[in-house]
Amino acid sequence: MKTRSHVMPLILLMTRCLPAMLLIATMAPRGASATLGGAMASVEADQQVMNASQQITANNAAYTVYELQTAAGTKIREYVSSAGTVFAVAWDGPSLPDLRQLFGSYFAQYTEAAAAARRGHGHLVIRLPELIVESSGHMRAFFGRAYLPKTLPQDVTLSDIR
Amino acid sequence: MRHKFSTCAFAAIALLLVGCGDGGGGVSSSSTASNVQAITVEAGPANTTNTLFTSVTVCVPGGSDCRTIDHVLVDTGSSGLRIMASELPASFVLPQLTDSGGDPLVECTQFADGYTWGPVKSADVKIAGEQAAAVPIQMIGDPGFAAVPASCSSTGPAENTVAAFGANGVLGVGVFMQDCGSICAVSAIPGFYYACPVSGCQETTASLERQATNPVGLFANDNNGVIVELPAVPDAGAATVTGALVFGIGTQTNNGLGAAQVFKVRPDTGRFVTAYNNQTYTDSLLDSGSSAYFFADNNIAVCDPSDPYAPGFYCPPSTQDLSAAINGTNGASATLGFSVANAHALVNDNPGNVAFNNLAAPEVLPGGFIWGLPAFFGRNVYTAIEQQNTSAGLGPYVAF
Repeated sequence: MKTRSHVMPLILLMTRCLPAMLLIATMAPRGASATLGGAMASVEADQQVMNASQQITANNAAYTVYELQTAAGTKIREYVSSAGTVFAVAWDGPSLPDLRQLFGSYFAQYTEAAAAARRGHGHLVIRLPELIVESSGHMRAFFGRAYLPKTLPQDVTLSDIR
Repeated sequence: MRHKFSTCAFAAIALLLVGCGDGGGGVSSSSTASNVQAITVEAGPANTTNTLFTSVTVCVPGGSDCRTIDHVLVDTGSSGLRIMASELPASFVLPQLTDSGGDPLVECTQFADGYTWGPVKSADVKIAGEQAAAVPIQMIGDPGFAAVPASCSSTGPAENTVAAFGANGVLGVGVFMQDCGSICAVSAIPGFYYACPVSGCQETTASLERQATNPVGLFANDNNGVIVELPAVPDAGAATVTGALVFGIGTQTNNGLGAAQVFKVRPDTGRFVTAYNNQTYTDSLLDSGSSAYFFADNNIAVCDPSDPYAPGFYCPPSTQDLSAAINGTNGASATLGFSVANAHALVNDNPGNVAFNNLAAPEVLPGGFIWGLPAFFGRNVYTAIEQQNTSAGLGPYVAF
């Protein structure tokens, strides 16, 4: 039997702010994520590729966070600036997300740099001028984040990206 | 070739000493017991730091055709045996496992730093005097399944060669029986198990019996866990450290818990809690496969990202003596002292040394505090497998 995974029903996740809840209530149910460095215009692509459910979990003057959940249960948070650019992504859960989809044009740089920067299979840190990737964990419990340091909105601190 | 010579010499000495003819291929360091396997920290085939190796023998199920692979990583942070296909002759053919539809079962194994890809095969596994029959193992980089599906290669860089992976294989002896577990048995998840008929690969489910499995849990005896026993190392490190991987917990005279304290871990993630600097880290792990302590502390200086020796590791001006408390889900608690040296100086000042008890790096996982291989030096660390009975109750737990 070779079944493709199916879209999980949208699971209501903990939301950190009320405006986000209101937005969910009023927004059309369309995906709202994009590739790292990409524009909001590529909405739904990540969600569709990863068969993920989607939800806004934070919304403030500097950025909006769109959270996807894959069928495997991994949560992906995409940070979109007020100008409409994805400047960071973070993930946690039992499996790694589709990083080619999330990183877009940065994926090749990532894999090349990662192959040269190994420090054991439980950790990976990539520091390129335009791309930072930090990955940690083991099967059943992964965490990671990637961001574009040159496009971080002014009011964003790294501890916000998690 | 240095490591190959030393392994052979070691085996020859052991044979002379104990006259061992059990065919298990095991070499005992501290004991002649059949449940003791030699383990070594050395540079290994990819010249790595703080990497723990052993040898593993795989055989055609039920047969006498066996091969022993040296420099297999001993990893308490993962589960299942994975061997580089390049380390076995093409003439050595193990039976291919299939999915429920009868197609070859191939696995994409995810690590934080990349993936391995290769078929799931059945092998009898022999380590020291222990044997497990028909264990599902992964054959990494098998030329018979060269094409990697996009949903696997999308998880990161490939680690399908000895150079990329840093070892000839990995012996995952963690708290879980299977690498993925029940989620892969019920869902065909991208990036895990694939059915690969000649027409191409597609995600599939894999029953627990077909997933890559911790061989220890399938041993006929001494199958409830392992002890990693490593001696202390000097502050300047060592070029080689030899210890023992002991099978079973409380099953023989040489593997009792004694005064060791038991810390139960979460059954879903295998994690426990560490308290450090008045902060609680809920994703904590004793991981022989991690080369350093990994934890967050903004007060400790970090080596330059372009440091040739230890990029991004901790580089305090002087060695920091720290402590943190491990808390099991059973309420057990113990405070451990540990040191963090200047990683640049440590490596630069001690050329040739690859075993260090004071190497540390920042952890990126918000709740993560990883007790890597440095924490294993000078300790006997027990890892009890889930649902297996021991003298201290059911696993999963860790103890030391």
